[in-house]
Amino acid sequence: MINNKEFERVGVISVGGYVPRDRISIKEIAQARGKDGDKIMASLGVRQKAVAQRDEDTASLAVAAASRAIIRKKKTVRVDELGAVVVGSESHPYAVKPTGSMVADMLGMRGEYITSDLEFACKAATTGMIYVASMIEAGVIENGLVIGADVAQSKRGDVLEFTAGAGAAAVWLGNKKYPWVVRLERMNSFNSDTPDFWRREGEKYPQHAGRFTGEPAYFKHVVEGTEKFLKKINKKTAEFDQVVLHMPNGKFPQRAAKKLGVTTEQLQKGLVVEEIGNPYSASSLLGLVKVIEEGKKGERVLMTSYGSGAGSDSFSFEILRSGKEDEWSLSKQLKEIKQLSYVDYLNQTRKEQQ
Amino acid sequence: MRVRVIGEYQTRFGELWNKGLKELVVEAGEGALKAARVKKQAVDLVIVSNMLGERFENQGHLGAMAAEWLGIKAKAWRVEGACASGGLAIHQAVMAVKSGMAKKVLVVGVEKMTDKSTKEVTEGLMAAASEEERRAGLTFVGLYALMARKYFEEFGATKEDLAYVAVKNHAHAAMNPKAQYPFTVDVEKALGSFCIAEPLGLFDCSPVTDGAAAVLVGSGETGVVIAASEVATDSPGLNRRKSLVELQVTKAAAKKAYEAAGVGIKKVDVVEVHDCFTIAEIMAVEDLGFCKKGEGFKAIKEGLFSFKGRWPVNLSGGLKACGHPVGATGVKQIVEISKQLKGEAGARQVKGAKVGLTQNIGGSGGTGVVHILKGGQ
Amino acid sequence: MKSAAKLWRERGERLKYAGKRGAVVSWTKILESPVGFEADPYIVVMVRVGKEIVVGQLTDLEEPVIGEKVVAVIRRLGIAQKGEVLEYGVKWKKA
Repeated sequence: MINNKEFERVGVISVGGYVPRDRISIKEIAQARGKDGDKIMASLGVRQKAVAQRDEDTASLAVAAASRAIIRKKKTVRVDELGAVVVGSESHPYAVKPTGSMVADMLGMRGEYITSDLEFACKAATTGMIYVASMIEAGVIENGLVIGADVAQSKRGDVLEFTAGAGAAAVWLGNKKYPWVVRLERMNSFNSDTPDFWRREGEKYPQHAGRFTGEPAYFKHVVEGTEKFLKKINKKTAEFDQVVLHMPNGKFPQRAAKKLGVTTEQLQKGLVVEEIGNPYSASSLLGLVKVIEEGKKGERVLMTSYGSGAGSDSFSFEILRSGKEDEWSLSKQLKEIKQLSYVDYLNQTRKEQQ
Repeated sequence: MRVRVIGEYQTRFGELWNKGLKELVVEAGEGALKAARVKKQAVDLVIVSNMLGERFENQGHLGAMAAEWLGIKAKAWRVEGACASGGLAIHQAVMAVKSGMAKKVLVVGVEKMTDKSTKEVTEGLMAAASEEERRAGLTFVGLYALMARKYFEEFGATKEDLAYVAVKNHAHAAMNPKAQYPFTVDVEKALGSFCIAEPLGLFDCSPVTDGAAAVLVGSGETGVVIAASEVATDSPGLNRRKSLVELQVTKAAAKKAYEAAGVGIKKVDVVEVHDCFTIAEIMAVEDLGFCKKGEGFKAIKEGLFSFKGRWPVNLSGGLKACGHPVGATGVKQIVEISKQLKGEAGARQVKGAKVGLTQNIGGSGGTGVVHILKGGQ
Repeated sequence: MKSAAKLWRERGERLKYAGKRGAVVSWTKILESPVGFEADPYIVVMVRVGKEIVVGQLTDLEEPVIGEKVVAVIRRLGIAQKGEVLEYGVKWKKA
């Protein structure tokens, strides 16, 4: 049971997103597989996906996103005030050795802060937000950085190859001491044991249960989770200006939206998946970052993430300050891209052995 | 007191599968003693020059090892300065004789490189660079490529200009039976080779070589005089040096050497420079004062440094065509000049050569050693 | 195998220039790499940052020109061998 608690002391100080520059189009992959690119694009609702360079990994992506959140507020907040750093990912560089402390160290933070890595498929970071927000609310820390980052791996020939992308999003939460761009109002979580998508210890690629990943998994947790949340906080979807849902592809969030009575207008801004694919733990958070960067004062935002295994986290926010485009905006990163050939893509994504 | 090269010997340079460090040391050491007509018992110091033995074969303690291999009961140690180890070993021998602490010093430079893969050798050679350069994924070719690119930008030279250095040195090596590549090449062949680190290709690079060279250094009446032996040190990291297009160590060591020997470039008859890469020779002839900075590549093209030119450079074939067994090179240069000044250089003999100069470099320019030798004294 | 202690001790040095801007002084494309680095070609640049000159890799295969502006980003360095601690450091990105 989770209390229907309204956060009184938690807001967003700053956000930052990092999407690698390179893209490979669905058509390009399909062609290499001898499949019909147009049909696959239409069925997945994705045009292209982001591809990390060979020397980028979850930690380097996380640092890139976090630095942007920090540099945007460098005049008002110091990095050594950081109370917590939490990185949620499905591709932590180590099985044992936390990404969180590596990222904190690279950001210049030493010593007294709280960190440990999180894993819950694509919702690892949003659950991190619940933990960090709660610590801030309880007065244990003044502020904390939550980062979702992934360099998604997929087996050649698997349908996941079309969408498994890369990216990172950082949300810097803080108490009333700091100027907020967004207020965090409430949250909820809804979980179960559902084997829709998994990767065993030591295995290189994840497995997924085909069509089972739909109704009993994604839709159940996203739709029912959101409905339970809204009922709890006594709100209707129509009361939100922006809605961000986890995006494993372009179709699932649109279908879930329909079931929830969410319109295309509400969903559109955060629907980054069409252009970048699915960066797993950064998926819904990048949608949220975009909505905040392009937000208007007074807008209300609803976000529900999804993690296979399975579960969803829901949040309600109020935007307090309108966003302004700068050199790190996601809108820029969605435009300044480079297309790869399938051969470049293979080179960039192969795991180097020594 | 005059310090002399009493005897000298070079093994064949090349891929010597049947010879290891021991065989090479023994051949070179005994060869030098035979040429000097001096018995083993007379040697009271053995100095070994070697860069990679410790890394490749885990053989440190090479001085004592070499003395045992040679059957010489004398004090012995190894000298280290990357590719300048040979020059430094000669320098140390001169110091030992001048100080009176040794009478007959056998200097043996040796290197065994072909047991390892290209990748391992590439990595091994980077021991001569800095940690920062290794971390950046640089290779030796890469370091000199950085210099070449800057040189091109500053002085208008091109890849083709570099090829003339290789062509010249191969032409010289064709006259040297001990060279690794005793055959000529033309510009087209040199330019057509694989790129290793832009803009340098295979023919801009000295090869991976096994070999040894030895000299017996002492005072007395016979042998070529070592009129100057000078060393200069600079930052081993290319990025922390003053210039990318010249080696301060060459200029500094050369200046001291010309002064010590009482000669200027006009008196020099024959030269051996450290052409680990073609660009290195171009910078060397400039830094040694044979032509102005930025003119080297033109002068080489015009034949100023060819066999029949005003200052024949690298008649042995240089590092490019004679080969570059790292620890042996600095000693080999002395062997070559010594032979020239004694009239024993065969087909590549410079008529009436009286004064010779060698330039030996460590790394991308962290160490520089210049020797000036005089014959007929 | 790289020493974990050495990597830890030198991490400040490796990350020293993160976020800094500079200009290309010279560059080369390495086609024969040493042990511990990518098999594919990569570009190494010498960059002037303030009064110093540093060396590092470029994040791209697009050849730079002398004088081009670059900015330092954090990336993985080299290829980790089995069991090795990962090495992070600064590479240069065209600005």
